[in-house]
Amino acid sequence: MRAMLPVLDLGFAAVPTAGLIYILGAWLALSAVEKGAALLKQHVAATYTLAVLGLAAAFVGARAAFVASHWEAYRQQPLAIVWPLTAGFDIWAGLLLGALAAFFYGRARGLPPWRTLDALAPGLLVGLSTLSLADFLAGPGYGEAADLPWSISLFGVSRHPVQLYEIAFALLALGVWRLALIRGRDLPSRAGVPFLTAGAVYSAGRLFVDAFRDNAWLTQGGYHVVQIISLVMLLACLFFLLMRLESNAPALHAERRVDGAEGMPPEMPERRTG
Amino acid sequence: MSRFALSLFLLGALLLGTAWIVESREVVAPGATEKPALPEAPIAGYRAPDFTLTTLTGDTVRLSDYRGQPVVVNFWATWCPPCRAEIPHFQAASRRYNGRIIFLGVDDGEPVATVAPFAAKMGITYPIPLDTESAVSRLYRVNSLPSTFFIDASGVIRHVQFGLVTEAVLEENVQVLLADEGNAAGP
Repeated sequence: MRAMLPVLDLGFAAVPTAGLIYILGAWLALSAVEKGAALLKQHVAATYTLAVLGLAAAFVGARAAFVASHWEAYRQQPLAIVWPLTAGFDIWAGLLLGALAAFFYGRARGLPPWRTLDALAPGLLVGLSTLSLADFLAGPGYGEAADLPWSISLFGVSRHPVQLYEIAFALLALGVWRLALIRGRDLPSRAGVPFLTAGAVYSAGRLFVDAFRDNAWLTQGGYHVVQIISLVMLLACLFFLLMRLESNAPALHAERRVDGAEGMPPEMPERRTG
Repeated sequence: MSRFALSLFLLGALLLGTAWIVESREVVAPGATEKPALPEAPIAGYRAPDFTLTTLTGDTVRLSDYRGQPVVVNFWATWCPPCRAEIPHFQAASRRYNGRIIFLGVDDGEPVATVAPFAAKMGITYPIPLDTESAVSRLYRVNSLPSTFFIDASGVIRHVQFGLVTEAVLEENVQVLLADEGNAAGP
């Protein structure tokens, strides 16, 4: 198997592959959020709008932060702010602004936090898979040398296809999410469990897989930064799962005692206009 | 899952996760100054493929001769509009970082007669190696113009930018190269 397709040659133009994958990934992620909200019997339109808003805020925020930090250059060429868009994004600023925008919109619409996160989970996993796929085809990441049946050949060296491992764990997390959903979709006390269990599985996967990256992001002491972040996320997911179980213990017992009855999700507060 | 089982799971995750992080740590062997040399390949993280070309002024340039200094290799052509748009940024940067970073503007597949008047008109003073047979472009898998390779002082490609490089993006990547140089130089 060979990797590397940084540019798609269409004959009349050459398009960066990563950009195309991001656009496709965003569309798929939003579709996944829509389906997730429908499965959870949540307010589909509001949840979808939250996801779109978060994505748009992240994109614009990342660009705005980069422009602001290089204002002298952009001041002389203001058109460069909007084109080209193949580079020049502050990822951390984008993530923060996207999360804030989604949070405040969700609060304004009165969306239940845990159930909304449950609905967003498949979209997040699809989005993360998109990033891995873009890195696999066009990015700078590559795995350690390894002579395995599933190794990829990168300029004559067989290597671990680490990005494919990441995608595999994302799919596994998606399966776990679906399973958790089946078990507790209509039980209010189970809100958050699909999101947290999927998050735990994906974080554990990234913690494991990053060890096989050859050009990993390292601390001064040689530790893998992504592994540290993944461990923190894994522990956070497990901690919040524990908290959910402890705070909902009476409700859980009640739900288990009722035979054949199903709990109903909380009513969505209708937003009055005019 | 019961609370006790989940608590146990959390503790297990902490211990195993920490152990795995420590096990995965990358440590350079005592006495070595860097990781084993990577093969040559035109992607970030690999050593930049070496090449030898003749410049517009008749000088011979070999990429490996610049080992010890960061190098920015820009593939371009006179017929390419975004290439023309970004040349002033490279020219300004080559003046600003004179002596600290080497800028090479590799012209892809054009004769001297085409490139020389264009370079004079644009006021380009950094070296313009002529890749008349496009051999180096093929070596670097340049499928579209412009393409820019940011190479650190040890000869490793740190970033590849396909398409127009704006002044801000150029400055950002140049700062990364200079920061690496500063770290490599030590206190």
